Amino acid sequence: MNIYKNIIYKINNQLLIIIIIFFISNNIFSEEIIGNYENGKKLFKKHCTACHSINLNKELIGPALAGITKIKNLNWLKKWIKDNKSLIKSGDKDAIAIYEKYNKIEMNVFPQLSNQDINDILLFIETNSNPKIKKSESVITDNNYKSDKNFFPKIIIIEFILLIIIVFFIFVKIQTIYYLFTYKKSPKNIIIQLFNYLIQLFNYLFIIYKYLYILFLNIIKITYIRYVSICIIILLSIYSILNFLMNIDVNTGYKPKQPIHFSHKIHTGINKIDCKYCHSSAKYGKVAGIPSVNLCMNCHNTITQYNGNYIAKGKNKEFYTKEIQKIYKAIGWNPKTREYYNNIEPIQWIRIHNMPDFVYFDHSQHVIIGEKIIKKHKNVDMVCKACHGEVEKMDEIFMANNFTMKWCISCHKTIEIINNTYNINYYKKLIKKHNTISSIGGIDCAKCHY
Amino acid sequence: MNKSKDEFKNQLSSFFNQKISRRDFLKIMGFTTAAVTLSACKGPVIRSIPYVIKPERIIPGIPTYYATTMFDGFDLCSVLIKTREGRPIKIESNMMSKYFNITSARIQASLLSLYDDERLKDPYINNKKVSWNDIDEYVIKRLKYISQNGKKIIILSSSLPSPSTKQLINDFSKVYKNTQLVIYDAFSYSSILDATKEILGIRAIPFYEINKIKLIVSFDADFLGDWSPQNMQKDYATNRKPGINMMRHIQIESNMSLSGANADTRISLKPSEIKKILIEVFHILNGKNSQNKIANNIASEIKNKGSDAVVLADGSKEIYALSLIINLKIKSKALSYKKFLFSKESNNIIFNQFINDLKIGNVGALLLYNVNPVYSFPSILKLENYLKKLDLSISFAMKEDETSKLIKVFAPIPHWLESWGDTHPMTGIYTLIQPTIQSLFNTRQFQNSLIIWKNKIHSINNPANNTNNPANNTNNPANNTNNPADISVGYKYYNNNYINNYYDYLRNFWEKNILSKSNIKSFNIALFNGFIHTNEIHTNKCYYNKNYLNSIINNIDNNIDNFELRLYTKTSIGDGTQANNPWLQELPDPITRISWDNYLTISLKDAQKLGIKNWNTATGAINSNYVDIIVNGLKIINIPIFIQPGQAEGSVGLSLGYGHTKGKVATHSSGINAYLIYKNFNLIHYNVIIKKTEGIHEFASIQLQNTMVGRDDIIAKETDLNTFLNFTKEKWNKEEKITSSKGELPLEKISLWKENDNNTGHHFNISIDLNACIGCGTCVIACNVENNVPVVGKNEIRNSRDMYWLRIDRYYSTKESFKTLHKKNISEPKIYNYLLKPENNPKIRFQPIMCQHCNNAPCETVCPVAATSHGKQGQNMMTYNRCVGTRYCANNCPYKVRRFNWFNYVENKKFDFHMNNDLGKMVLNPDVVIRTRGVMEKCSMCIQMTQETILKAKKENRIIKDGEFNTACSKACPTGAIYFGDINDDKSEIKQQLKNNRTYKLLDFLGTRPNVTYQVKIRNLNK
Repeated sequence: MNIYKNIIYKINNQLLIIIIIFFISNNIFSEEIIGNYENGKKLFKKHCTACHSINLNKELIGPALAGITKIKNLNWLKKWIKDNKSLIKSGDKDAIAIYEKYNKIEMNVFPQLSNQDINDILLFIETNSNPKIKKSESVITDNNYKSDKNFFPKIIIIEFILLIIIVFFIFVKIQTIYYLFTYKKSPKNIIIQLFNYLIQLFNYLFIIYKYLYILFLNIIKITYIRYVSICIIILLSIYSILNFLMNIDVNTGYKPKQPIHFSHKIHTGINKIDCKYCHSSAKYGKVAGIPSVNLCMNCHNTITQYNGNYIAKGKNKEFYTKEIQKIYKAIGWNPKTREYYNNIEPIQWIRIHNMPDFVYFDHSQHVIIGEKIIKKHKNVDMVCKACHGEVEKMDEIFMANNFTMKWCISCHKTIEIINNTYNINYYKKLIKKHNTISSIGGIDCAKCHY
Repeated sequence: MNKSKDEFKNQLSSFFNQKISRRDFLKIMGFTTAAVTLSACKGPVIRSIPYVIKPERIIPGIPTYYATTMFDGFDLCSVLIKTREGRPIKIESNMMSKYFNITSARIQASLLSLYDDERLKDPYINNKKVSWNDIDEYVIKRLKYISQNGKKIIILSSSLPSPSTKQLINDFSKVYKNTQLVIYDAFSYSSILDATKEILGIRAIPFYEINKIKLIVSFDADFLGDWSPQNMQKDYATNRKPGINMMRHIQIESNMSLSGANADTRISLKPSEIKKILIEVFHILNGKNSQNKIANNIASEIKNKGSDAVVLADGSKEIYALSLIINLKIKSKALSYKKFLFSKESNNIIFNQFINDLKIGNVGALLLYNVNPVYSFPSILKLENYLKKLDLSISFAMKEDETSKLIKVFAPIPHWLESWGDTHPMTGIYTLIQPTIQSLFNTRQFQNSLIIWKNKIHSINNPANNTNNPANNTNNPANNTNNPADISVGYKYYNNNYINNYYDYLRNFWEKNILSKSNIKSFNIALFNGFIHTNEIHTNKCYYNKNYLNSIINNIDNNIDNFELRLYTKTSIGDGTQANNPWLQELPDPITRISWDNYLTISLKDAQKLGIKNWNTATGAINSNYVDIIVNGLKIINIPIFIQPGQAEGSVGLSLGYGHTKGKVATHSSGINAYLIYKNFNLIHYNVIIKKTEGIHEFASIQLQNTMVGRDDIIAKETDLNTFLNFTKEKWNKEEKITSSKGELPLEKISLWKENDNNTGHHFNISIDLNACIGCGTCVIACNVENNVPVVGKNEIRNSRDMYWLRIDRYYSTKESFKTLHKKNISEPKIYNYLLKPENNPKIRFQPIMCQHCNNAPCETVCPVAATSHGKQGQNMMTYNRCVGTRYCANNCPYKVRRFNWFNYVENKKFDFHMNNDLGKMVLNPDVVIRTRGVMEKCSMCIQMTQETILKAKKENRIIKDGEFNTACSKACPTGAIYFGDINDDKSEIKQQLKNNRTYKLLDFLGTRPNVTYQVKIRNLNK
């Protein structure tokens, strides 16, 4: 496999180099856009993606920009981008045509962009508008995808082998029974002979077992040992029952299938969206809150399909894009016409972290007041991780800790009182002594149970 | 080898030949079922459904408050509504408003009527579900016909102090001619209004400023109850702060009312005698002599205080008028001529005219808004035939009631918490009603219906080329809607005829007529505040003619020896508007301590004469006889009778508001409909004949022991003003001491327990001023609402299984004490025969009791599972999830404040109150857990509220100011009797309260060191 991969990579690299060289030469010949591709990409994402799709072949509020550098004059484009309004006013026919075509929605003006900036952006557009590069990109992802698919034949092979073993076993058994019931002399069949030896082996094992059993009975007859062993058995069983009972409704690792395959890894891991952007009520109240769909639309208003490089095992881009469409169904939005229709279908998420009714837990208390100390104590870079684990690495969210009272208390018993105005005023002495929050009622029953 | 081979062979063959025995089968089956069930043990899948579009102002878990006005036809109050995730969960008083800012038990509880499962959910015509368009079509057609035929369209409504609605009805009557508004209140204030009209020249209820005066003499006026819509409780309590200037209160009454219970001197007399005394007092004040000793005493007290006194009276128009004349005579400071109350508009005369019209057949359409005449005016049933003949009868009611059977069209209205509206309760005050929740059902406001019916006919009447036609009108806002900035401009051009919803109408009305009177110029600011104050005053001059006076004085009823009946309203149920509210039905009467019932109150002597008894069953529950009464020839049978200490001899009392025949909760109560005898809106009836009959009635009483059994100086302490002013604390509030080998030691010196460190952090205390507590029960309901206290129903109350976290004990005084009885050489146990009996006219002490949060709590030491423990902030904490229900703690609690959950009160058909349906459960406070069966519960000192305050301060990184900490009871108390605060804050109010001489701790000698303190009640006996 590795060899193949390497080969493909090599081919790809070469292809890329060839394509880039081809394009650079092409550019030199056709139009002189000289600029910085990376800067252009950055600027495009910053200023343009609100109205123009980053997939340049797609039309959003604004037109698809693929190949625009070919159609339009460079100078005209610069004028248009910098101040399209004055261009329209000046009576430029092309400008007015575009303005009319897109329902008289005015494009923002960008006087802050320098000529070089615009060059960068245009370079980015031109480089990306060629479909050939896109193909080479998709080759890479396709490879990933194939390697994932190899997983299934493996299972089939294993199952097949298992099936053969079972059939063989049954066959042998039938033979044995036939032999036993007919009292035939040992047949010449090799398989049956082999099986005879096996039966003998079983016999020996049975005899050993029998002697062991007799030995066991003799040992048991010694009262002291008997009682001790009985005690041990009872204690062990009590321990195991207790252990079992204590783990009822402890759901560490609970990972139900959610109605939408929402990947925290893509959102917060790769795209670095802050936890509190979506779970904003964690800042204010006890509930962290599942974000409402209108919040999703802040971004997915323009991100209508998945274009990232990361793809989880067994998934593909189409899958992610389909999942995005579920948002539109929930909020009643037509991505094609970009209009809302009055048909709302709330998303029924499956709750993972569910505190019992008799537990009061306040997110804001931990996220805002205790942020620094929890980070320090748990050695995490984000306060949420202290309890919810490394969410940015989870494709599907799951319960990272056991969320038992013992687990809660373990921090309350070891974390020191925070040094803030409130605590200094009420617990000055205790802060000086570096007491833990259990000394100011951190483990009082009714602080969490009421 | 062969042997073993054979053996194995045999075994194998036996294995294949063996049959499964029955036992084995059962074993296998048992194992498999167990295995399957165990493997199926999975937690339930819990779904979380977030908002699709989250409203900006809602943050899950954070309450939002709205200012509005509580008005349900009977009560009126400026309130704040606490909402969580868009649903109202608590009513609090709006302290920004100067007046009408005091909540009562009924106002606190009115929240639950919003979530009444029996509310009408759709409009109906002839019991068929229809759409609002159908209703409009049906109604307009008939209204048009009726108005063209010259018959009357009657809008029968309870008091309607809404200026905009009045204007609307005025507009409506211009469209539909012959429309008439008839105000009808079940509990009529007409006599007071008429008397005021005749004496002071304005048909309104006078406004009494009792915070200015030093003597209240009340002739049967329950001014702490429903005598006046104005809530006097706060002024009363603040004016009665112990000191030289403490106000004195004399109450002359027949029934034991809440005011009488709080009076310094209570004289119990029959209604006819009360009237006589009032007339005597009037004569004495006018310089005549009288032989009547009581009248002389009262008159001399009034004379002494002069303009610092006020006389209040109730019973009939004449009595009320006389009290007003006396107040004018003594120039009482309390009577304000500049301010009047407009929240009640009952008019008996117009109502009687309407009844006549009905008989003649003048009435074509009847629109019932907020009234239930079949229940509250039962003689209307005689007119049933006339009512059925009506062309149109529309019920604007929230739920089906007794009147519904006569109605064809049901246009259900929303609860006041879902409505827009305004009120003008008093001179200089206008308040607004705004919805705090989206309409739960397919309801439409009464006002909206009127607007729609008015407009639809209007558009038909107007030809198309009319200049007023909206299509041709250039100023019409419809043309301006494209530009949002123009909407406010457009408003000015709104023609009332083209406003098609009540919100616009209201806003337009306020912007035109009301906002101009005040400093506030923006409707939205007024809405934010919930009210506006204006500088309006009345300048009417008072006048009355002498002839009128003579007619009052000479009109003395000649009473025969029969009983006199005085009807009254209870603190909990009032006029019966909220009879379907389980909180109110279960709230025990402050005096009799009986819930779920009304009854005839009678004095002990009369009861003995008639052979009537109240007795306790083996469980302690109270049973009684039944009586029949005959009033004005009308016989009511099987009224339960309750012997009430303090009831005047020869008089009986009966409360209104009970005896409904519709409503699940209202019918759970087995009361009698006293409106049957509320004839001509008379509160007092003479010549009442009482006969004992067969049968036993079962009362649900929450307090079975009525006296303190000689421990008057230990439990609810009381002293008189002279002793309080002239003697040291030792005499009237003696500190308990422990006798030891070292002599008498103060309680703090000796303890079995290790002392807690109470000096760091917060340490919460509650201080309850027994002098300010009037026993109104507002705190009890507030506690219920805040802490999800379940309603248990009549039978469980009878079993002493009430769930109240906070109760208000009522103690009657006894004639004898240990001292006097020992002098008489009466010893135990006989002594208790005397000490358990209340006096004939007892003095009453109220004592609110919640968990005392003892620092050395007896309950904590006995809990086998440590489910109750002591917090660092002084709270005695109860952990429900840990409790196993041994009930040791309840046994060991000297205050009897722990409550055991005998049943699951949620989702239980046997407790079919609000917690048994999805709608009713919306009222539950999400911050407090609902306790399950087998768990002990009790007051938590509202730890959810204190924790919230602390958290807020921590987030804002600041110190907590005094007054920020609150409990539900301290916040709700109308008289400020309950203080709550942090005693580690040296400047706090609670610290001042604890330093007060009157402070003591309940049963302190037990060494429990409670965190709840009480303050001795002071009676101003004028010795």
